[in-house]
Amino acid sequence: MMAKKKKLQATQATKYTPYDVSGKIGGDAFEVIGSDASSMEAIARPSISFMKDAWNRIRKSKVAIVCMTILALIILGAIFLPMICPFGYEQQNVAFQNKPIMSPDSVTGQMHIFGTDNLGRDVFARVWYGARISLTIAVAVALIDCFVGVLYGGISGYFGGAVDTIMMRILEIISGIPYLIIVILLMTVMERGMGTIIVAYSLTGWTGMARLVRGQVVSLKEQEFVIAAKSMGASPARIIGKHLVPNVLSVIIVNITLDIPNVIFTEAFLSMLGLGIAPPQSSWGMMANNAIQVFQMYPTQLIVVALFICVTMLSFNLLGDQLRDAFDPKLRR
Amino acid sequence: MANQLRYILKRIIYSFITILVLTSVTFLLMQLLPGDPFTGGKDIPDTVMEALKAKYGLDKPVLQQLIMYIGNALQGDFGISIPDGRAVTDIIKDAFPVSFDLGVRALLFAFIMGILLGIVAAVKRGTAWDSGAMFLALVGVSVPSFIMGALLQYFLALKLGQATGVQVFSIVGWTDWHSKILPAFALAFGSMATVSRLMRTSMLDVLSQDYIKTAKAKGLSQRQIIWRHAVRNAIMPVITVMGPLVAAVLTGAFVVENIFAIPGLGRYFVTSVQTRNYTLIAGTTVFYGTFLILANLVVDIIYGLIDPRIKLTGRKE
Amino acid sequence: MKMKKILAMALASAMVLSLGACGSSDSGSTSGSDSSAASDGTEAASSAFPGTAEDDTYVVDLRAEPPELNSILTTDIASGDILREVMVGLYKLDENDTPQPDLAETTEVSDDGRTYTMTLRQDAKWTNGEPVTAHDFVFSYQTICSKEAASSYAFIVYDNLLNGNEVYEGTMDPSELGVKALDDYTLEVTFENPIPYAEHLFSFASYYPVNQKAYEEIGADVYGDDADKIVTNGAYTISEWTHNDHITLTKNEDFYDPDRCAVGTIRYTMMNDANTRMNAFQGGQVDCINLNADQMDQAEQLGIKTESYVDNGNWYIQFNTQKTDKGLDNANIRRGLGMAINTQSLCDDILRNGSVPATGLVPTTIAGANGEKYRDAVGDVVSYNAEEAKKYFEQGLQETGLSAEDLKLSILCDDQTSGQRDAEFFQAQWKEVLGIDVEITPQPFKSRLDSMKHGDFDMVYAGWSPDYNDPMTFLDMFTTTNGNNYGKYSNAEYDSLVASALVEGDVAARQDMLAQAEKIVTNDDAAIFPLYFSGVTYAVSDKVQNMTRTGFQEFDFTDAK
Repeated sequence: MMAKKKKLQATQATKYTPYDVSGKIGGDAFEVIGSDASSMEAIARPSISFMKDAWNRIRKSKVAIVCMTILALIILGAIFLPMICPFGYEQQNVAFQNKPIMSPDSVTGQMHIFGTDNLGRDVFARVWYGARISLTIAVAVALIDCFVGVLYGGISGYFGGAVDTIMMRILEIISGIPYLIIVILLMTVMERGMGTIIVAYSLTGWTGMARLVRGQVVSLKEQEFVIAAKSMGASPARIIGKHLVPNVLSVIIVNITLDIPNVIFTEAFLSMLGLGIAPPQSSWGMMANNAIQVFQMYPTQLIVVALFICVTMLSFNLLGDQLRDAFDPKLRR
Repeated sequence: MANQLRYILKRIIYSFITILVLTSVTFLLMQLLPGDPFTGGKDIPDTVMEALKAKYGLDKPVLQQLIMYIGNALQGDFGISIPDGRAVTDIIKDAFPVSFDLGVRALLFAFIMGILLGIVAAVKRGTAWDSGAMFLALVGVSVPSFIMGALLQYFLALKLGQATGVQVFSIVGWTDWHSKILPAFALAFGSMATVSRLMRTSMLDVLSQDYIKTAKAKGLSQRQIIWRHAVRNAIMPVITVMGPLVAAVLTGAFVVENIFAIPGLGRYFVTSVQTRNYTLIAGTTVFYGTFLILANLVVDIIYGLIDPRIKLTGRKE
Repeated sequence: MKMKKILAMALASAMVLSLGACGSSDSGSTSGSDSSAASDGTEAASSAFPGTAEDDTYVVDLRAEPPELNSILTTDIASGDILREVMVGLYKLDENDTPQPDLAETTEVSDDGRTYTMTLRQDAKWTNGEPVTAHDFVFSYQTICSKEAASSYAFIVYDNLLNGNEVYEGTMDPSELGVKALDDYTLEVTFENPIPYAEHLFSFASYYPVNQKAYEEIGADVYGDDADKIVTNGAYTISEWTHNDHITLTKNEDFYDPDRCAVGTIRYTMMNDANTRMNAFQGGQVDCINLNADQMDQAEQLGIKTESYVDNGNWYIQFNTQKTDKGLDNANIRRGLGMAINTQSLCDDILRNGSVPATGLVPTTIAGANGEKYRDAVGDVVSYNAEEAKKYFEQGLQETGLSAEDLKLSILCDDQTSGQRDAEFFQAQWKEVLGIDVEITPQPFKSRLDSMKHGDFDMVYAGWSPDYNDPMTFLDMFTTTNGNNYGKYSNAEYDSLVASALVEGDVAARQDMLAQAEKIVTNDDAAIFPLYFSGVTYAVSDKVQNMTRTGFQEFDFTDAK
């Protein structure tokens, strides 16, 4: 393709130069600067890829920056704080229950920054450990949903025809099953644990993503660059991976961002039903559920965990909104 | 018209298959549960156990049980809830109207309040009104319903009652309007947030359209433009979330009914999960599933009928 | 400004709409349960918790729906609470759990202690107008001893009555069963063995009479499912039952002894959530609720009147004696593990609900020989001792040649919050005292029982509540062939002690055998290690009087004199 272009440029160049200068204006008024083939082809404004453009716009949004900073802090905290915290998340001090924030421990004298819970466990340690669990579940589920959804939707949309029909009918049936009901059912049957939760959540959660990706792929695959690639013998895998996926990336990213808070919510909801993570591990949902039982006496326990949940949810939701705006071609200027 | 009918028919058939799959999956998952429905704290002698299994048809092969179950379910018979010996269908008949009542109130509340908040936010874009409405909406999507319910119950029912001496909101129950506001509100809050965010986006979209500018140019008042032109068009996308919202409200009721001690089906579902009451779990799951699938179907059909842009020959993804 | 008005109007209309939407469908249907909430807020100022506003009515919380009011099928405590109020049997438990004759006016016991001949009072009536006769008992006992009825509690009748097993298996005619109506008002019950606790059995729901005509008219499948699907003979009648919400009992004016009713109307609510119960109590919508550990401080702070009782339950750790690779076949290791748990701290710091550290397998509430409580007569057999625990544990390790790291024990427990919380406490104690790491395996109730049945556990945190008021209900559990002996414990001496106690007619000698058996299974062999006798602490409003709450009667309002 490149070779062809160069040849074309060469013929154009010989056709127009040298300028045949005649008429009233003296030829010395002009200077022959010649013609540079490459500069003729150049795009005046620097080329900005789609992602780069989105990133530039995101960067300008204060809200998005704040959200990303908060999320980064929470994620870093979830990774590192449980390691350096003097108390283990499961470590009890039954003689030191339900203490308010900033209470020095009765044994070691170290500070319980967020106080202790009804077994005398350090709320600070638990809430960060809970962040680890809740976020791991949420991110894992969102990624699995995304992976399966992209694969399924991509294949279905790309091949079209009978494959598409069959795959979409199956999808239609699966997505008809109410999400939460089936999750509850699965959690009832399977053993409790983080793996179970991830599997149960992602079993039906991918359908939305698959639908979206398929829709995008169906409209994209009729476009010239895909047809060109196809005609040059690119394999389906290459076309899906190289051409289609990058173009549906915006949809995917926005969806992952909005999927994560949903999973956090679901986890909290199921903890309330007693179908959450197995103790002594903690998750935000489980902590909230325990804290709500004692909040009339010890409201700080609820406030701490509710703040974490709310701030995280808020950040993801706001960030998702901002990302959607940033990726929206209608809003591109 | 023929196209529309074909589309509707197709959707009905898929819904039916989905229900069938859901029923089978539910039944088979119940078989995987450890123990049997009669497992209790005490060991039941073998002879008694045999008698129990024979009575409830659990001594037959699984496949035969499945076929029987589907056959009976199609006729609206979900078997007997074993610990209390009541027919699951009777339980659903008793309890679902309560959940339905609660759900309809919550949905209405969510829609009306959500749409109004969305309109206000869009029309007053960038002002304190906008920020206020959107803040409320964000709180709605960020606070789990069980926290919201417990807080409302404590502060608005108990504390307000104690402080003023007048019990405006009942703490528990489902009897008169005193007891119905808080649960409906707790349940509606999350959905209200979703609706208002959607409505705002949609309104902004519509307000930037040319026909609005035309209307403005023709000298229509702000109020007329908003109510006659903008809202009517902006409301369309909001209707599409009707299906998911029904699901959210129905499942949210599990928690809210528990907190406010409302004798709805959601509470039965929760207790049946907690006590592993197999037949009741299966029955309510199939019932809820069917209800939601049908609700989605109805929403789709309605949406297809009222929005001429939807091609009824195929579902627009 | 305009927007404000629109918003305000919209708010109002949304409220009205969402409230009025289905208003017509529910008005009136539950008018009976309207608590007149508006008036009690003002009263709350004068006294801390005066209780609900309705006259001559107690509202008490049952937490969950009573599942089965058919006395032939019922097995659970909540159903027993309702049946106790609406039914009378041959005997009735008084406020001290001592059986007193009720329908049985006179009782004659044969010399071998196996045959009871009772004359019944003639003024008892069913709510369908029929008199209560000896035939109602015969019908009830014969029905429960049939496979068609499929009662999970059938064995509590057929194991005791003469020819019970044969009748249940169908090898004998029901008329051969040890229950006879000599005439309309004379009943003769014959047991297989002498039973020292026979009078207790006669007060138990499975031994209540059932009116045959009503039972057949209503139909066995639905009997007891609704307020109008049961015929009763007791001090109260079921006047209303909204499933999963409340059940209302009203005084039965036709009852032969109306004075025993504590109050005209009792409404039992069914509130699932502990927080909800607490709010409802504070708001004056309920008179009596159970409290959990987390609510104790609050109850104290608010000045709520609380009371507690030991509810008969015994919670213990059962060891799987088959797990030789984990040293659980060794009595010293088992004893070490058991004794390492500080049961006093468990009761005071964790449970906080009136539970007391266990001093044996049989709780303090169980009756013993000659009017004395069994526990008082026998004394303590187990206790917490960290030093001893370590010693026994080390000794056990030496005997088995295992090291502490080899054990890799796990403890099975319920996945409900409290079960896990307690297990986490044990885990911490074992770490502290014995220096071992124990894994917690929480499972839903039914999964846990299934795992226990299949021997799929190392240690299990389990509880047992008695079927009848006698130590035997705890002590026959661990014989080699008993279905509840999940740890596969086997000790010939223990088995023979239990077997001889079963047929022993002399109560003192019997108690002696049982006490020896108890010491063997809990102390010498430590096949199970009792932790605590579970208690219940409840909040009660000022207005409630004459309410009995004991180990065998969770609620009783028929002890007024």
